[in-house]
Amino acid sequence: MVDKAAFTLQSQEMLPALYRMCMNILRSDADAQDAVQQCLLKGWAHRADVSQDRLRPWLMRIAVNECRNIQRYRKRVYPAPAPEPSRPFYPPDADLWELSEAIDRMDQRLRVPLLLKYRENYTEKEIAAVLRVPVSTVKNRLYSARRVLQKSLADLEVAFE
Amino acid sequence: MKRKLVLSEALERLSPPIPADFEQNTKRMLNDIALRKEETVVKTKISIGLAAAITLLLLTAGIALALTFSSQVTEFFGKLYGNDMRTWLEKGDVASVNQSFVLDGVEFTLDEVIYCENGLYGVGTIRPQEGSSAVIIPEDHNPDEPFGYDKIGEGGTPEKAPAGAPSIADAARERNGKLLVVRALPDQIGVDGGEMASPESIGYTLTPQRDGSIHFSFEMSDANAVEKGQKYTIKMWASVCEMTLDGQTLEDTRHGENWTVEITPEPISEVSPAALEPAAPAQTSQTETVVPETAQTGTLPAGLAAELNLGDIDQVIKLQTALQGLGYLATVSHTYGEDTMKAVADFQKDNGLLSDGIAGHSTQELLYSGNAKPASNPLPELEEGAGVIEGPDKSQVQLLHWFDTVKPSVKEGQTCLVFDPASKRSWTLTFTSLDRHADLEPLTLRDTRIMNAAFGNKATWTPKPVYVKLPDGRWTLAVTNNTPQSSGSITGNGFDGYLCVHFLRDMAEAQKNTPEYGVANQTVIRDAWLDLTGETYAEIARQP
Repeated sequence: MVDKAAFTLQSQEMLPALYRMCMNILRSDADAQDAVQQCLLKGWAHRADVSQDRLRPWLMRIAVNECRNIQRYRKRVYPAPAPEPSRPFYPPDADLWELSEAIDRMDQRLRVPLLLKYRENYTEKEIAAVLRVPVSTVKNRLYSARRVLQKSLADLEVAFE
Repeated sequence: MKRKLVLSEALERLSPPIPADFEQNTKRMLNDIALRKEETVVKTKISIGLAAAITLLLLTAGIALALTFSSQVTEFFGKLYGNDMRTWLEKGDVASVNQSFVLDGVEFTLDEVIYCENGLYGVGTIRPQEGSSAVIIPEDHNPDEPFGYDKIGEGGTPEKAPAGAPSIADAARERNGKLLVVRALPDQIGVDGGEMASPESIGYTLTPQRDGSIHFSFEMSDANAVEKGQKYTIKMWASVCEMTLDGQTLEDTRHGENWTVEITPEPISEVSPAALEPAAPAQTSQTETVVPETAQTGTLPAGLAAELNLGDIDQVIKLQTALQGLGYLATVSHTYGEDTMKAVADFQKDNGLLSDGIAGHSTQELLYSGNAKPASNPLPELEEGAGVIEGPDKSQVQLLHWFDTVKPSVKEGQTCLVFDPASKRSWTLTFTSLDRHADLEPLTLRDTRIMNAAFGNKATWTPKPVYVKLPDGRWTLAVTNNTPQSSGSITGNGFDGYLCVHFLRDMAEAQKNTPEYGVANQTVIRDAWLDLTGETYAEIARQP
C-alpha cells in the first residue's frame, strides 16, 4: 500500500520519465499525454496493490501497457476518434541525428528496455517488472539492443554506460 | 579515431521534454485526486509482488512453466499482439460461451470470453443464417474488394487475394443476395444481477474468412470488475445495415439490437477446445490431446508440447513433408521451429481443428489421413526457372582464401549472391557471423525456396559447390549446405536458423581445428576446383 502523499510525490517526480517513455513508444504528443494520465489514474486506483519500493517500475509498467492499449485500439477504435498524425520523434541536436534515427528504427521490444536502462537508470530487475518478462529475457534484449545499436552506429564508439 | 558517444548522456540530450502546461495540469490532477475524501481503491487479483515472486521462483528453480491449456481468445490475441499477451491472458478466467443471436437473417455467435485484470476479451463468429443468400462484410470493407480476405490483416499486413479472386460484389451477385454490413460488440458488463456498466473504451476487429463468415474479437477495459469465478453478464450489441453493390450504405435499413449473454467462468484448463471453426469437417469433435513437454528443449519454442516425438527427426521430417505437400510450409527444415509451428497452426485452422501450432494426435491423424484440406492460402508455386541466371564465366571464378582474403573483405549484415552451377539457380544470403566459416541466412522467403529447389527440396548437410559473388564483386568458389541451425534473426524468410558457407582454408589448419565437418568441406571445395579448372589446388606452405 502506498499512501496518498507518497504516491502523489513519486508520481509527480516520475512525470517527465513517464512522458518520455510514452512519447518514445507512441510518437504522438496527444497519445503520450493520454497514456500518462491514464497510467496515473489507474495507478492511483490500484495503489493498494503495490509497495512503496516497487512503485517506480510498477507505474512505468502501467504506462507501457497503456501505450500498448493505445496502439491496439489504433487498429479499430469505438467510438472512433481520428488518429492524430504522429509527428516525427523529437528534434535532436545535429550530432545526435544518427543515434536518434538508430533508436527510432529499433524494434520496440529492444528500444523500451534500452531506454529504461540507459535513460531512466532502471535495474534489470526493475525492467523485468515493467515488461513482465523474466530477468534473463531482459538481459537478452539489452544485449541485442546494444548489438543493434552499435551495428547501426558503426562510425561511433558507443560507451554503454 | 572514432567519435565517442556515452549512451546515457546522449539519450539525456535526445529526450523530448515534457510540455510545461501538461506537466502542470497533471500535477494538479494528482493533487486533486489525493485531496478527495474517500474513494474506493480497487484491489486487483494478482499483485505485482506475487507475480514477481512467481517469476523469481521460476527463475531460481529453472522450471519451465508448461501451460497446456488452449483457448480461442488466447490464440487470437496471442497472434495479434504476441506471446506476452498470450501468457498474460492465460491468467484470466475463461468461459466457453457458444451462444448465438439472430438478427435480420444473420447469426451472431459469441464463442469464448476471457476476463483478465479488469479487461474483457472475446471472440466469435458472424455468418449468414443457414439458407440465407446474404453476403456479410465488415464495416470498413468495400464491395469491390476481394471476397473473404482481410484487408487490414494481422499486424497491419493485409491478406493478399490471388489475382482474379471474386470481389464481394461478385459474391453477392452470384448468390443474388443482399450485401449486409455487420458488427458485433460488447455494450455493457454487469456482475451478478448488479447494475450494467459501459466500458471506457472498446477495441474490436472484424476479420473476413474465406467461407464468407466473419471472425470478430473485442477487448474492453474497466467496466464492472469481476472477481475470480464470479458470474457476470455481457450485453452484446449486434447491428446490420444494407449496402448497395457500389458501396453506399442504406442508412434507413440500419438495425441493431442488444442480446444478453450470461457468463459462468471455468478454470482455464478445463475448457474444451472442441470448438466451432467455421469450416469444421466431421472430425472436429475430437479434442486435441496435449501432453506437456518435459525434458526436450533444444531448438523447441517454450511451451511446445506434442505427442509428436520432436527428438525423432524422421517424425519431424514426415510432418514437414506432409505440410509442405499441402502448401502450408516452405522448407522441410528438420527442426520444429517457428515456421513449422505456424504451418501447423494454419493447417489446424483450415481444417477446423484447434489452432495451437502443436502437432498433437488428432492433427497428425488428419494430416496423414489423405483427407486433409490443402492450404486455403498456399504459397504460390515457384515458377519454372526461378532464380536461374547465366552465372559467371568459369574463368571469372577464383579460389579465394577465407582467412587471407574473404573474411577481411566482408562484414556481418552484407549480402552475397550464391550461384549453383549444377542447377544454374541463384539466391541471396546475408552474412550473420564470421568465424572459421561463414554463417548466413537466406534474405527472403523466395531465396529460401530457390535455394531449396537447387538442393532438390531437401535439407541436407552434404556440401554443395557453389560460386559466391562477394560484396566487392569478386566471384569465388565455396561450398554450402541448406540445413537450418539454431535460430535465425530474419523472420519471414521461411528458414528457421542460419546455414554455413565454407570457403577455402589451409587443409592443415582445418585438420587441426575442425577435423570432421571442416575437413569434409575443404575436401569438397578442392574437388570442385579440380572439376572447374582441371588443376589440383596447391596447398600454401606457411611458416609454423
